[in-house]
Amino acid sequence: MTTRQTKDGRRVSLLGYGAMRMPTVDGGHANGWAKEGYSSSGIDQKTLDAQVKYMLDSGVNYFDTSPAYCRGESEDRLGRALAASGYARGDYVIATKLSNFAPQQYPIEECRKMFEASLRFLRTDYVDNYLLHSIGNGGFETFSRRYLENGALDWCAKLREEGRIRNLGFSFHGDPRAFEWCLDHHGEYRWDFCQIQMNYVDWRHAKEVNDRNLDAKYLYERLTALGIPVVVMEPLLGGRLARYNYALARELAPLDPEASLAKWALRFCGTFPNVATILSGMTRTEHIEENVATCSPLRPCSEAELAALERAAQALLKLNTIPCNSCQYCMPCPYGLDIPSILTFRNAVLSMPTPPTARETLAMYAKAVPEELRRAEHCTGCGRCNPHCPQSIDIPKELAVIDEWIDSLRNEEAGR
Amino acid sequence: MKKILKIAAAAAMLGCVTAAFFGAPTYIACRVQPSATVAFLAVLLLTPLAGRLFCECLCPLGILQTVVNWLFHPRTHVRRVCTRLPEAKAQRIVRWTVLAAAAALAASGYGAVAWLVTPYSIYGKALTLFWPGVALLSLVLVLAAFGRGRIWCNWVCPAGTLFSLLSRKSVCAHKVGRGCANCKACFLKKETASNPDNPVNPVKESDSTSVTRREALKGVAALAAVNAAEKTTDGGFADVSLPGVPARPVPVLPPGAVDRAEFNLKCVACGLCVANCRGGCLAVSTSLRRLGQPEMDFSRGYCLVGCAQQCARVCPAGAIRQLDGVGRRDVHAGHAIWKRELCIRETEGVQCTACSRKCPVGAIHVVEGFPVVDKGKCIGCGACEHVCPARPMPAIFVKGFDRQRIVLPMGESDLLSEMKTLVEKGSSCVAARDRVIVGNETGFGVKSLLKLLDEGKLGRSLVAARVVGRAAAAICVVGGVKGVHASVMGADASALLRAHGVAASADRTVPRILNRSLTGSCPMERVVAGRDDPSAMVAELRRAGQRS
Repeated sequence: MTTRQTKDGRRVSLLGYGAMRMPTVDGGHANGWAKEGYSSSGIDQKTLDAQVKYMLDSGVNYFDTSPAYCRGESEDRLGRALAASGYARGDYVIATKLSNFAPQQYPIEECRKMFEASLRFLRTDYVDNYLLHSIGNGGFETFSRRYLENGALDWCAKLREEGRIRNLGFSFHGDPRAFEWCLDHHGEYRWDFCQIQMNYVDWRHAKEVNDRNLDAKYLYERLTALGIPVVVMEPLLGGRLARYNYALARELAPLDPEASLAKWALRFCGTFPNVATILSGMTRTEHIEENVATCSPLRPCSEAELAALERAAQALLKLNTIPCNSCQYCMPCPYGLDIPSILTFRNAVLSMPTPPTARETLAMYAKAVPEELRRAEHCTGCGRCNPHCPQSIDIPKELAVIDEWIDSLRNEEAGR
Repeated sequence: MKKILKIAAAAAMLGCVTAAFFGAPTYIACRVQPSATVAFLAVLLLTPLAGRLFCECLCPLGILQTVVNWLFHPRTHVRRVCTRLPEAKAQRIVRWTVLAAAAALAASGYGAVAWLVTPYSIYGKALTLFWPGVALLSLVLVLAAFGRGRIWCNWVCPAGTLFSLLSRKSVCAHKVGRGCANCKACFLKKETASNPDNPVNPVKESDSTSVTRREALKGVAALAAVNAAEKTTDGGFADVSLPGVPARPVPVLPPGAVDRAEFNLKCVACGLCVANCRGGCLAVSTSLRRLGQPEMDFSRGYCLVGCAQQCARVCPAGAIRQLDGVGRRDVHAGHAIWKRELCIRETEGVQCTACSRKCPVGAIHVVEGFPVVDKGKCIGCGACEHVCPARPMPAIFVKGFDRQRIVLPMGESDLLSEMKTLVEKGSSCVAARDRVIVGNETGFGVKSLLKLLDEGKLGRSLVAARVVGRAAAAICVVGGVKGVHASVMGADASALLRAHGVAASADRTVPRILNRSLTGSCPMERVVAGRDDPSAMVAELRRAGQRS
């Protein structure tokens, strides 16, 4: 396993485990995934224990979680699995976050409670890496209210002094002003690491996907200049860069016909020396085995390969897919919609080399979102999902477009 | 030869009728049944010549009985019990009583109950799993299994009674002559070989169909109200529940069931329309006056405006009329009624635009956050009721009409002149699709068009606008507009539209679009100047809109 040195001198594995898409008893992932059918059954602790043990045995020592993940179960489940693995606390790095998304969690006492709960769930008395979760999501004002006005950031810095957290960092999605503010105050807060969305599409094209974004290249270079190690999230764009896609395969397969698309995406991120670890939310043991193999050791990309990845990124952008990574931050929708499955279904149709017929499309939709009451037509347009989306997708608008499209297909079918 | 023909015809008919319930287009099969259709009149005329051809080869229930008869009594070879056999008297009393009762019920407005005993109705109701149909079909089959001949046709069925009356003097059918001594020898076949343990059991077969059918119809699970609390964790699903069915003052009937009273008399409640409804909104009524007849239930679907009237296509009774040249948009089957006290805007204080967004004819406007129904436009399709999030009852529901209103479609030129009038009256842009105005905006031109684009109202539409420059033209191209008409159009805009295959016309064409004070070029035009790719132009416009 390739390892990278962090600011405190520890070596972390290049592949990290993102505890957001844990396996469930019925074989889906804990937050639901369109491709495998949504899952409401519990997390499969037995499989998770085995997976964590396997990862530790293969040298993966970075585990990233949050109080919000998997309906709030992620920390507890990961804590159990780590405790059961038989490894000592010093053998692995735990990263968790201050995920105070709801306004009722903004007050500092609530933040404190959240941190104490994290320690309890993770069965530890310190956190290696503590992050301000998704700064910039919901705009700069939200960032300011969540971390600055309530004194949460200063409190985190104090926790670091006390040794209850070893490293302080932040994950960034959204308003660039929040990112710039943090870097401007680097002298004051001494960020130990920073977590950014990085992959071969967002490297140069994040701004193209959404005007609000900053390209990963810019983020990486800013952080590198300041000597802040980078933790990569969304290296596979929630599976969009891992699932078979003709547009990607056409560019990449000729160079290395045996490599999976996921391998390409991980190798891209690992090529950059200031990347400390690449977080992958691996649900299935096969994913873990494959990614461990890719990173043991990781072979950096050549110039020709980087050029091919750039061509693949451009091909993907041409499909005009919705930038949804099925992170489930929008869920639960108060009206019961299965938003990620609907958007993923739309992307699946857009990614097909030849467009399916109306009947085929409707059949795909029925499979992707089996419950009628969870489909796009039931969106009320309340917009409560939008501030939670780290990709800044205008979800009600996308759902309206999808519903109109589905309606036209149904009418086409009924008009025969 | 005659026998083979009859068996072939019977098998084909049974197959066709059954297939029709599973979506196969078998029009003829549905037309030949007891109601006043041309095909049925032909059968009536044929009966005096050919005997009870209908019961034997055309009626699905009759054919089934013959099959069961044959399975249980392979040795009998008389296919029907002669009316002159001893039980004839009791039989006559029963069948004429049934016929009289049916007529009386129909006359007093309970025709739906009378239709319960007719063959197509029983068969259809059984196939669509409506319980009276399943019960009656089982009864018919049991009678056929234990009795002799087609007991139901000969004892109960009003159509059978009618046919037997007509075929009394039948020329071709073989009859039991006056000299019959009631020896019953005719019941026995000449050879005695029989196979009572026939593995094929038609009752079982229909059971297995019913299970799959039930599974197919199985809807979504239900429980618990909408959760309005602020979320703190990711993932998971809020509970969902089907909306209740409101007590409608008048039921909503399928489009083409023009007159309600006439429909209630004509409909035989066979359930074919329910089985073939593409929108999933037709359901069987449980009201005594219209038992088993179709009516709209929007909890699982809504009437699709693009539907080629599948319900009318399969209607065997002519109760749902096929309206030629008139689309679903032109049939007003009812209109929507909004109840303020149920609307989530009132009960939960949250913004909701589900009904207005879903309306296919643009009949619901949101005014100050609340929906206002334009009853002149509403066609009673139930899309709003279907998507209304209020529970347990939807806050907007459709009230049916006693007489459906058919509006002749507006011609393209009339539509365009109406759109022009709207623009003259102060609208900045108007969009129409499928002969219906779907958007009418009064704000700034480009901003309004962007709004229509975001609402997905521009696809395949016609647009009339006050001023169209290259900026507006680019939005129209991106939105997939078919044609644009402007009071004032820039020459370069017209060229851009035509280059992308969009028809363009204008009252006045000018070389370029100026700003409001006529001191220079329009700011929106400056934003898109130097660009030729419409999607890039739209992206620029959005960026400019965010800055301002």
